[in-house]
Amino acid sequence: MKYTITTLLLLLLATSFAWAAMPADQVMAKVMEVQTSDTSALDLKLTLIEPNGQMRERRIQTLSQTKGGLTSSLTVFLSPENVRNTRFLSIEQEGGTTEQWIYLPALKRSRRIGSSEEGGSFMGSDFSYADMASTTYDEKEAEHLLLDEDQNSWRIQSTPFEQKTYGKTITVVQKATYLPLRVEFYDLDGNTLVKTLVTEETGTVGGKPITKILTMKTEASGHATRLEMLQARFDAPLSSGYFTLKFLETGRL
Amino acid sequence: MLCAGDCAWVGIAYSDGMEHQRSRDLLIVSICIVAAVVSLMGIGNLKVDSSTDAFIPAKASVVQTNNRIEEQFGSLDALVVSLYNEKGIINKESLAVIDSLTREIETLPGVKQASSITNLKHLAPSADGVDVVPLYEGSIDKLEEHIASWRSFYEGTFLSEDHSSASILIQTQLDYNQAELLGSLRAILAPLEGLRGSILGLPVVTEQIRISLLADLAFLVPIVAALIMLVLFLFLRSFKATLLCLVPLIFSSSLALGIMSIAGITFTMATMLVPVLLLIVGSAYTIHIFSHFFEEYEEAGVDAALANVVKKNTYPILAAAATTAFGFLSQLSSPLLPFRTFGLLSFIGVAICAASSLLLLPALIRLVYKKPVRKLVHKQAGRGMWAKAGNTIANRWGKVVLIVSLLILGIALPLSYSRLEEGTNILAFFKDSSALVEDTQSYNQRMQGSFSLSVMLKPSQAVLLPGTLTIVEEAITVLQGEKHVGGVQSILPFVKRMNELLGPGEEAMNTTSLEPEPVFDFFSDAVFEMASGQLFESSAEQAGGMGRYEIPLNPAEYGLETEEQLASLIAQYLLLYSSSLDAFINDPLEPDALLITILLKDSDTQTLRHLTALIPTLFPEDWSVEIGGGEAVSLALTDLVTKSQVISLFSSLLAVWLLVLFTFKSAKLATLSLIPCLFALASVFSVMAIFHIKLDIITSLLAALCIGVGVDYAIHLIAAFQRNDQDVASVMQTTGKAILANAASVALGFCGLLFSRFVPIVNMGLLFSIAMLSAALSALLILGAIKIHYSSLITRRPS
Repeated sequence: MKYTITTLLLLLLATSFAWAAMPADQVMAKVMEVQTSDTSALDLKLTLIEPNGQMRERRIQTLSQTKGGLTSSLTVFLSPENVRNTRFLSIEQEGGTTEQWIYLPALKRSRRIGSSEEGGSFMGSDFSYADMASTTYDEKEAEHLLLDEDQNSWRIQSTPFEQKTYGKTITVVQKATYLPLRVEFYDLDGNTLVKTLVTEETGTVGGKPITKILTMKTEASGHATRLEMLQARFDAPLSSGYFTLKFLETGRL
Repeated sequence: MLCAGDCAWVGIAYSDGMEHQRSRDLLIVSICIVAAVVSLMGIGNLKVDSSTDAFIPAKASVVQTNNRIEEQFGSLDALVVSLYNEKGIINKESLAVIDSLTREIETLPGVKQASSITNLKHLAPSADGVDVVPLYEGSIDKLEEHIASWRSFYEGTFLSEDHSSASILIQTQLDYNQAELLGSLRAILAPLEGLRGSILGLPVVTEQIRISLLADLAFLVPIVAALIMLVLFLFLRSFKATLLCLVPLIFSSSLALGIMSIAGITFTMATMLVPVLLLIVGSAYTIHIFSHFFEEYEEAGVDAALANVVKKNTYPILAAAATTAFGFLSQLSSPLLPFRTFGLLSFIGVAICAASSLLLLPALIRLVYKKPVRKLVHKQAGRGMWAKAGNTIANRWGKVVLIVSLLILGIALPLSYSRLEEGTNILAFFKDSSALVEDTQSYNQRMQGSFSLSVMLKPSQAVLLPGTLTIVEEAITVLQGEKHVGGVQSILPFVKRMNELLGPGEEAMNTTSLEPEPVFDFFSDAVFEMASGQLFESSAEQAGGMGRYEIPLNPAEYGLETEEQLASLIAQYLLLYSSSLDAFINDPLEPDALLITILLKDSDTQTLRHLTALIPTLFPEDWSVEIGGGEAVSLALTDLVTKSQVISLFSSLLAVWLLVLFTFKSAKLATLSLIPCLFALASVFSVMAIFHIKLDIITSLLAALCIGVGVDYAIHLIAAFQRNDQDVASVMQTTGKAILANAASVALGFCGLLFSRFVPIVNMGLLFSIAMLSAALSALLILGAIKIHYSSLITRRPS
């Protein structure tokens, strides 16, 4: 019994030494790795919370696949009713450009949108299009600095090399899962806190740790958006047919 | 021996009394000096608030409306950086400067968004849809092409029609540090070369007032003090006496500032006047003490003369102070908090002034004037000239004077009052020659306007229904035709532009599949059927920009059947704009409120009143229409100021009437004593009406002050008439002369306000000077004439 406890303690110590020795950029690379998958299908509910407590719900499903380092994604708006079936296709091209198409069900037509609106709000929520893709940076995108840590988490400051929307972020990473528990997004001046992301519930899907519920709050307005993962599938076979203009326009494979 | 012993005892007692008196005087002076120093040290802690928000009550409906609008649409505090180049602004150098400024401004704390022609995204049609491209990508030709394709949106807002000036529109966060942001903006604009830059918007005006308020006080106090010193010297002919007279006045003013800093009273444009007013009003009390002291001091010696002077003047000074103080105190009836604070503070200040004239000044005189020194009394024949003339007029043409003056009063007072113009446009506080006014006028000439009214609409039906948007469009068309309206900003240009870019062309709808839309749910495990060749016809071949620049109105033209489907189409258009529209609709997909912003080139009260009356009539009755924004606050303040003026006018008349009734125990005399007040009011209102001086947050204080200060002349004169041993001629030579001298000194003191950098304070200085002279002259002529021709009216029956 004594042996078992000693072994356990040693193991724990060894693990914590391993964490302590882990450089910040490796932690953030691991964070990105944990969140990345070859394919994913997510059913998301967004609840927009006004400062006065008034709420509005939005529901989307998003499919994505990564092949050869290039990601394609399809977002389908399920609610509210007036944008139901609006579909948004994004196909990453060689050379860093992204082709984007929108399908307008009212006109039953699709249009190419020649832009990437990274900083713009996603469906009027507190998430920008860039936030929806990822809320953290990997080691190639930012300089990471370990600010402090405790038994359960690291607190890492990330300063992006190319500052588009944020000047810096401070992420609290859970040591056990490498999931971000809290992310603070600072303005381009690096001092003004713009938004705060808080993980409210985590879980696992097929053994993969995931964030199930998180809330993004815009500090200046007090407006918040709660994002709830209703269903999720990762690394499941996904037809490439979803990521075509044909599916975008017909809703059929 | 007995006598010698008695004398010795008397001498010891006298000496002890002298020592005791000296110690008491020193104590009084020391306490006052310490209190004044402590008070002046607190000036740094004064809370300065220059905004109209400081005046308007938090529970006022316009404040509540603005809060509701800001809750839904963000801060209403819009700032504009205007850049001007007479040779044109569309050139590489100017655009580089605008680009650099926009980037810098975006990073400033408190800035939510900064938009200019160098960072705006432009929606352009492409071969298969729409391209969202930077409006300016480095090519002047492209920029001009982009602007030309949506001229109605860019010109007037971001760029002047003649392309000589451009604007950087700054949307602030709800909670930001105004002073810090404006300081940073000024620092950014300071080294500007080749362009003329200016910062505009309501926050700039309030900030400028905040900066200028203390500086103005620091500037005005020495001027007013110098004028008062001049008046005091002319009366007293002694530098020493002049300087001593100033001490109680400075003490009272310092204490008023100290009370403000300790009590946390906000230093507004109204409360700022208190120290200056105390200097002016209090000078009359010190003149009374010193002039009487000089009359008696040669014969009676310092102590005896002072004792007699204080005894004789306590009641007149207290009575005069009481009427003035109650005139000020009538402001307690005002609905505006700064006016109530002003009234209470002035009341306390006048009481301190009177008390310090009766305690501090005698103590100072005793300490400084130790030995009776012969005082040269300069008597000048001319000094009684005006009073003598008044007596002659009252005697010879008294009845004519009475009839004419009462006729003038009966006509001028109501007529001038009815023609008073109201207006609390905060920019009007500054002189036309000021940089702020010049910049604003210049901007308003070239752009849509820097004044704004925000209208929050909550329709009874869905916001995005074409029917709803059409009503809004019709209302905007009416508003744009109104005088002074430079433009109206709304969601409509975005809807129309998106319809133009993404909407179908004329024949497009014929090729559309009528197959029902399959319901997508990836997780339902439904097998997605294969699309048949016939079903799919790529619309990607259809170019963007084939639609019309209009609100989609006819469902059939869009292959749809109902208005609701068109509303869905509009929501799908707006999905692409996302957060860019949060200043116009409260949700990009399911809005239930929309905001239209009316930009005005001028914001006179008449225009605002007309527009606020017109706007609700442009929408169906079951829509909620709320009007807010900076100019709505200004209009609400105008209404409150007018209401405050009426209430304080009548309450001060009543207060003064009751005080005089209490003093003379006669309703008849109390009523007669209001005559100089009414003439003061008539002259003030006439000048205001003739010279278009607006009734604003400062000039509205005048009426109550005129009554409070003007009634003193009537009281002094009536009291003198009551003394049976004096005829009208001798009253005119003594009291009449003193009244004229007092009016001249107060008027001269108020002339110091003409040096203020704020127009309402300049107006107040001018109007109050006129009011005092008018009150003094009417007291002498009319009350004199009544005494001569209708003596029974003004003489009390012996009781």
